[in-house]
Amino acid sequence: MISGGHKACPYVTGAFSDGDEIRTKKMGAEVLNVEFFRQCFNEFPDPVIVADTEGRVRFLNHAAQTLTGRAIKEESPLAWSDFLRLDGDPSLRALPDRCLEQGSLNGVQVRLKKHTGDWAPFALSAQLTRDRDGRLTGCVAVVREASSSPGNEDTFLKGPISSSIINNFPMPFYTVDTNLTITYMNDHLEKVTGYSRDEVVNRMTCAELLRTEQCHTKDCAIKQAMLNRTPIAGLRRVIHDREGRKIPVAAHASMITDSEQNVIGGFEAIRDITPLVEAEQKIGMITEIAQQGILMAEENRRIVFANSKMGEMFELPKEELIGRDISELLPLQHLKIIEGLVKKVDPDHPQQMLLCSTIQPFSPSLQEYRAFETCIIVSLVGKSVLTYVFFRDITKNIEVERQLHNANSFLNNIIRSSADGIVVVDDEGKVLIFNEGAERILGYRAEEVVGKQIASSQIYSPEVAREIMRLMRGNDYGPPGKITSLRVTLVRRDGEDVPVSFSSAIIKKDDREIGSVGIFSDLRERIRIRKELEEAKIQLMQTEKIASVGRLAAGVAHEINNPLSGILLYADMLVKELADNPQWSADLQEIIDQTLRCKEIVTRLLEFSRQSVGQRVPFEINHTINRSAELLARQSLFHDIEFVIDLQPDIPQMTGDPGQLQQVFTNLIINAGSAMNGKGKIVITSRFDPECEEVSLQFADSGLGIDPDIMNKIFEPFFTTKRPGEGTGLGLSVVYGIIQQHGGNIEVKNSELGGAIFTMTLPLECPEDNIEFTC
Amino acid sequence: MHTIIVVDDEKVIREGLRRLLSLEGYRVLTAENGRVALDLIRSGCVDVVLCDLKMPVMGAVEVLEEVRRTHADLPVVIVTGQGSMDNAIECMKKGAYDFVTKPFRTDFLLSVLKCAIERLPPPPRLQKLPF
Repeated sequence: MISGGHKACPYVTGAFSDGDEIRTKKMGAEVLNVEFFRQCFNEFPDPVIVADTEGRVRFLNHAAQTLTGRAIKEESPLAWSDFLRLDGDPSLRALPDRCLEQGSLNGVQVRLKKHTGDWAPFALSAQLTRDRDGRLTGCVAVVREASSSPGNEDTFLKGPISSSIINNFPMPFYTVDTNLTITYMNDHLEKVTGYSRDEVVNRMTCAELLRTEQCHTKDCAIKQAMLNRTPIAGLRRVIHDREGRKIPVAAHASMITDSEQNVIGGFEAIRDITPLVEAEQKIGMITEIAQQGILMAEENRRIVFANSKMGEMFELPKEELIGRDISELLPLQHLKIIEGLVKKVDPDHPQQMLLCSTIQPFSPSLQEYRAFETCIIVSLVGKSVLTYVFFRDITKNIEVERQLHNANSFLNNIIRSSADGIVVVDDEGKVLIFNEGAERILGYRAEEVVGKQIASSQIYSPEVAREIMRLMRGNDYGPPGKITSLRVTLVRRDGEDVPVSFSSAIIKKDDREIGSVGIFSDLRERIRIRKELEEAKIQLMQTEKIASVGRLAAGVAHEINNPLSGILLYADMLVKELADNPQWSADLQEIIDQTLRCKEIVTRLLEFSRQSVGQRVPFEINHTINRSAELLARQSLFHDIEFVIDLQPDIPQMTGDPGQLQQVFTNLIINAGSAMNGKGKIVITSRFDPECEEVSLQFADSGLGIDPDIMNKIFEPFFTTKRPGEGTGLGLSVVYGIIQQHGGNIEVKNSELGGAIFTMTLPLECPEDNIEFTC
Repeated sequence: MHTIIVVDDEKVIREGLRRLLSLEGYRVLTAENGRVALDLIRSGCVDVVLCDLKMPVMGAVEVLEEVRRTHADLPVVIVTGQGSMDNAIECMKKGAYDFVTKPFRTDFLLSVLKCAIERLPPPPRLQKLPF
């Protein structure tokens, strides 16, 4: 008998179905060659039943007629369900289905209604039958009593039924004996291998015919089936044809046993799966070159496919991923997603998909976290639910994006925090960037102008705009399209002109002008500092000029003292000697007076030329000012002058030479009194600046002020506006010298209300290097 | 008759003072520098020394130091220009009787010398001290 697990060829599906009208019409009962079966099986010892595709019994041999007590009559067709039932299925409906599924039936347990009316157990073997054109015509069945012997197997195999079954088998097929010598091969196998049956049967082993890698090994499918007495289905093999061409096949093998269940041989059917393998190779190539990790798992969560990229991600060869449970590899988050998707899948919704991103340490050996974009698809394929997982490693993308973001942030910070103003506009003049520097210089807030068109007239005059555009197109200030360090005047929001150093460039993309950038530095502070430096330089020169004149004068004065002493000594003596002559006395007195005047000049010169403060003692500046004012206020010159003394009361004690400073204040007050011709107002103020620790003093008069032409000369020695003999021109020089020696500064300007204002600043502490300790 | 020694490198001053002081009834010795003056002082007949501050060979400071060592009670009056005021003050600290700044009025000089001879305190100063 034949046993095995061959599946039915699909095109016979439904051949026994009573409801299959198409097949009934196409395959009429008249096609069945009943006479052939009569000649073959009429005298066959076992009951043989032949039925057409509509289930009508068309032939019963003698044994069958005897057993069932029935005969074929044209007027009353006999259905085989009238006397055959499948065990457990009285309608026998499952029998055709099984025959169609398996292509043949071997030893199926059935009940047969004997001529006695009893339903007895029988074993039924059946085979589909076809005409010469291969069309299905019906089937032939042999029944034996369940307990009866199957008879001589060799006889059975070589019998017409078996030959019919084997020859009609739709796949390449062969049988072997226990030595693996081929005992039969069908036409299909002849076509596939290129060998004829005569060359092979009883002459070659299956290994010699097929030459697979597994031949002569324990993996030989037919050998395994015979040894293990177990059918094997769907093993992939590569056979070679006569020309040596490789042919991928799916092999199905089983053993052949005798009635004693001894293995007496084996058979193998192969199916050419070249298109499938080629398709798999194409898909495999696609999955291998894919930058995504791809794996596929069956419903039992076992991985059945993984590409190399996926292997790289798990740091394993992809082959080692096959067979693993996905829970070994995927994080809980993904497993939950898969679980959820599996629940949603049903025939109406055969595919479920979800995209997610995860950041995780993908492998324990990887210290750094990596980011993945994951696509999980759960799909219903046939009756199986397959899970596909696609991983895309986006760690580098994120890193690049992060670096790009950082670089952008860095550049934005540079632009934002630049002290220079930076303005970027597009080709329509719409402001794209307006940094803090631009806000500060131009007085607009960024949110007021960004995204809006800014009229050039808002920030510079039309003339400047035209000039900038002209220069931008020329070579005068940098190459065309650029301006470098052009001095222009911008207009602030409040209308104030702002001189700036202006650089500009046209921004291009693919030779197309898409905008422009302007960078400008505020020059106001620079100009102010330059002006101050120039003023300081002038002041320094003035100071040096005054000092050099002072040194010269002091040197001369010292030498003059001796001859003056001689003149005065002799004049005094002459006055005494000529006391009786008034005419001479008067002349001598004039000599003495002029000599004393010289002495006064020399005294002032020497005071002026002193390079150091006489002493350094603590004193109250307000007290010194008051004392100077009180002493002078009593003198006749000041009788018609109003003193306004406005002194800050809490000025800290200062150190320096109060005597010298009293001389300063005295000189300034006398100077003011003279300037007002003895009539007017003198305002004296003192203020303390705690931050600078400086005292500021002002002596203002209500006179005519100082002629601006001589303003910068009034501190020079011997410079005086008084007539000869009325002033030495040293009073303000002495003032200047003393203030300088105290580390202070003195300036003069005219008041808008008239009169001159002398402003002095003095540090609380007189600098040490200006002190000469004399006591 | 009291003896005053005038020490000054300026001949005009020496001779002028010799004439002035002689007219006032003093015996006058003159010296053109400190070294000559010290020789005369050692003769032991000098009552007051009138000494210019700055002189070649030996100035008033050295003269003062030597006189203080050999003639502790001998008054020394320093004559100085205003540019050397600080040195004059230093001399006062070293024991000078008084100082007179050039150019001086004869009346003031005579009053200083008179007080010095009589070992009286110096007369009130018309010139203001710089401190």
